[in-house]
Amino acid sequence: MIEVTLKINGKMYTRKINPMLRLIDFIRDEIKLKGTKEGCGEGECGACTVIMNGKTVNSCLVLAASANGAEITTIEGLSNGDHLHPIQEAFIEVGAVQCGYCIPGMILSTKALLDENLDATEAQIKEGISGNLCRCTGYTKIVEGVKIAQKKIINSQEGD
Amino acid sequence: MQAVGVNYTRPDVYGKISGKAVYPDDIEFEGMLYAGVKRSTIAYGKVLSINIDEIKQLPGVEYVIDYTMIPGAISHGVIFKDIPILVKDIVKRIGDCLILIVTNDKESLKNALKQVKVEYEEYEGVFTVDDALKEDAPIIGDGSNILYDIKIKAGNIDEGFKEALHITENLYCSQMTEHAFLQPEAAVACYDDDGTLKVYVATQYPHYDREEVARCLNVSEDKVKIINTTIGGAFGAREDINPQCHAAIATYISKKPVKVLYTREESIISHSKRHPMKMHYKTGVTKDGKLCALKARIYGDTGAYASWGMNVLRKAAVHATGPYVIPNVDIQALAVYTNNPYSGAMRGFGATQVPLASESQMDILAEKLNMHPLKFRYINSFEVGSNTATGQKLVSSVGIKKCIEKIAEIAEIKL
Amino acid sequence: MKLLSFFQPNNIDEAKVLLSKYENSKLLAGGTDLLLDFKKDMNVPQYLIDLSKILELKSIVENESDITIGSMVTFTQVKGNKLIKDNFNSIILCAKSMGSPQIRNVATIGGNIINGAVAADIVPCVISLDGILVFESIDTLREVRCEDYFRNNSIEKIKGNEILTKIIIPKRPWLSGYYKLGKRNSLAIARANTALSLSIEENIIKDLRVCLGAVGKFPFRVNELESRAVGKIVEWLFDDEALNILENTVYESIKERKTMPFKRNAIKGVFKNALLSAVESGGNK
Repeated sequence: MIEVTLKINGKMYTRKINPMLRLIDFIRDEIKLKGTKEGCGEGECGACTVIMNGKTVNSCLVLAASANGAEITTIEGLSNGDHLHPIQEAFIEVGAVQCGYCIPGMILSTKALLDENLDATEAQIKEGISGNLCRCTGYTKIVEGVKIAQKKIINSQEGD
Repeated sequence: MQAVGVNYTRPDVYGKISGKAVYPDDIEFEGMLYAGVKRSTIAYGKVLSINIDEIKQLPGVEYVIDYTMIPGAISHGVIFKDIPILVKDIVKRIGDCLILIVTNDKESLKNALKQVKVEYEEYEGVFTVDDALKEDAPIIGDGSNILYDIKIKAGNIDEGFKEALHITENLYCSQMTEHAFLQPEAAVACYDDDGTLKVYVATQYPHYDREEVARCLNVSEDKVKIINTTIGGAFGAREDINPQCHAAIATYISKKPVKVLYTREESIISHSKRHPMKMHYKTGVTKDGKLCALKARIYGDTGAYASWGMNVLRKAAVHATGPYVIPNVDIQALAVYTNNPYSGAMRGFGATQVPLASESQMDILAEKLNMHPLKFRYINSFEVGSNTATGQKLVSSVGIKKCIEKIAEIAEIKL
Repeated sequence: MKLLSFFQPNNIDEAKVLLSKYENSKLLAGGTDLLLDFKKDMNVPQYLIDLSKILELKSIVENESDITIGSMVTFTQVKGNKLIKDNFNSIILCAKSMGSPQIRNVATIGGNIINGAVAADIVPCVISLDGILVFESIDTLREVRCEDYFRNNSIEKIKGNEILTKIIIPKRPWLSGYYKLGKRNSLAIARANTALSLSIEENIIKDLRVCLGAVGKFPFRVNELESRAVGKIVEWLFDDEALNILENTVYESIKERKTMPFKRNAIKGVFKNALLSAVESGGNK
């Protein structure tokens, strides 16, 4: 067993863990944040995407031990109380959500993309979410949702 | 038409965008056990022995359950109850469930499942429809390898082909398809204070599930409650029972909450598939471009168990003509057992496969006629008053001609 | 085997000491391959040494005659790096086509070279750019040309106590290109890939390196094509004469494999696309 400390959604968590524990298991089983989903367990589907030190990772392909000291954002860290993130608002507005299982990962990939490049073109948006599968095949609405989110974020920045 | 063209906010969307929506694997109870099944790794054969006594001794193992410990029915199925909950002796496909292991944590379960050793007497299986229909083929189904055989006839097929200027005859094959919904199967079972057994599961048929769970536990249906969680995609593959009975039996025996969670691999191995179909099509057209005869033979590989095989092949037969008037038809569709993964419901349910054949035939005939394929479809399309191959007279809601007219207008095609 | 301990050294020296101390140990780079093995209970060592905290291995540095890439540099880092962009078009194209954003964010150049062998994305690039691999242990340091590393793999293969620390790529005013054929755009590992670099003067080929990936046990150079091309005009590389050499090379390499009929043809298109990407990068070196 080894001791690790991770900052998840702004809160510090220290746990003694088996060094083989994956980051997704740390988040779901140790911290009990269930919004991060496991779809394939091998980095193909992206349902387990979280943001680690500003970059998206498949939390099924990262050891929790490797993430020691890292700062993690999960879907639960995105909204502020009842106040939704503009990406979440946009996804609701446009009807980008069907079964919902891909959505936490999809939203986090979108966030990482827009944090880095708010003006992403449609091609860049598609590339940015290319590691997230939606088997309900709702990509058209999802891409539309990302575009609406861009506008929302830009407008809110102009308003500041 | 209040809903068409209007944006509605789906009622479950807030949970889904915030990560709060509860799928079965998100549920945990105090003192919950974990259960999983060892599945067959051969497609056809007899189980000779399983090292159950050894497994019972492994760390963390609470129960090892075989078919003799199931209190009620040992099989399930949406129409025929032919899918073993736990196999008695014969396995008919890779993925048949052999024993159910219950442990007190996830790691022990993973370890115990790895330690299971099964001895089989392996039989030679059948893996294509052609082989399954041979006279000396091993019988996979209930007395026959033909699960279902439907014939649709109208007019006079021989006379019909005599009217034809062009005839085209071809074989079309469609592939097996996996649903690959994003949320792997999971279920959590537990007892309510009043003695009702509850199963939390993502399912397409909670009412069927209740019946199946009650049957296998040998209790009345009012003692079982199926709670449908948020469903991470289904596309037909959550119509058959998957983890429901296993979770319920483990709880029944242990009296404790039990979770069953599939890996992606187990998910793909275990649930139904879209029927692969072989479609022999012979279609004739008159010099005026009117379809005059269709002879179709459709074979669906229904795999090891019935599931919805008959319904799917019926639908394939009914839709075999496509949306076109053909006065003389001779259609036969068969669902055939093999040792492949069992086929069942998937988006379209038989109506999805036949257009590969029927529409390809349309293109080939249009070319022979030197007619635009859209026009060829237009002059043969159903309209109000048309008779389908099954003799149904269409009285309303036949939009295809209007649709083609619109396409022609936009694409500037002369009909 | 069961993992007994996990180490996270802060510098290369610490890592070397750990590696020499614990015999049954393994290095963890990005983990995108290794964790898949762990899932299947394969390749689980007793001691795991995670290199992710070693900053020395994470930089891209320009020297007088080369650019040195640390082995723990991620594909995302490479993709956005100006030095790489200005010098090695093929590596940029490769980094862009490797995996998904999530995979690129953790997968490393070093890990890809050491683990990816058959279908490694970056290896054909490094070989075609005459790149050199640097291996260090507590008491040794050796440099091996990437091409030799794979050609003589039984001898040159990384030793149990070694760390691949960096990849040195000579700077030269050549064009370079890369193309990968995958099953789908984002995630698939290469079914066939080609990296090439070439020196051209007034449309005459002065020098050429062509490396094919995923059509043999390891990526390899097509020497016959390289030598025949010298002195010819660039367009010759698009001719059947050149393409047939590729087809025969692939045939000879994998004639026993079921994928051969497909790959011997596919390689021609892959090569042409790689070449186009080099030519189109134009004055951009």
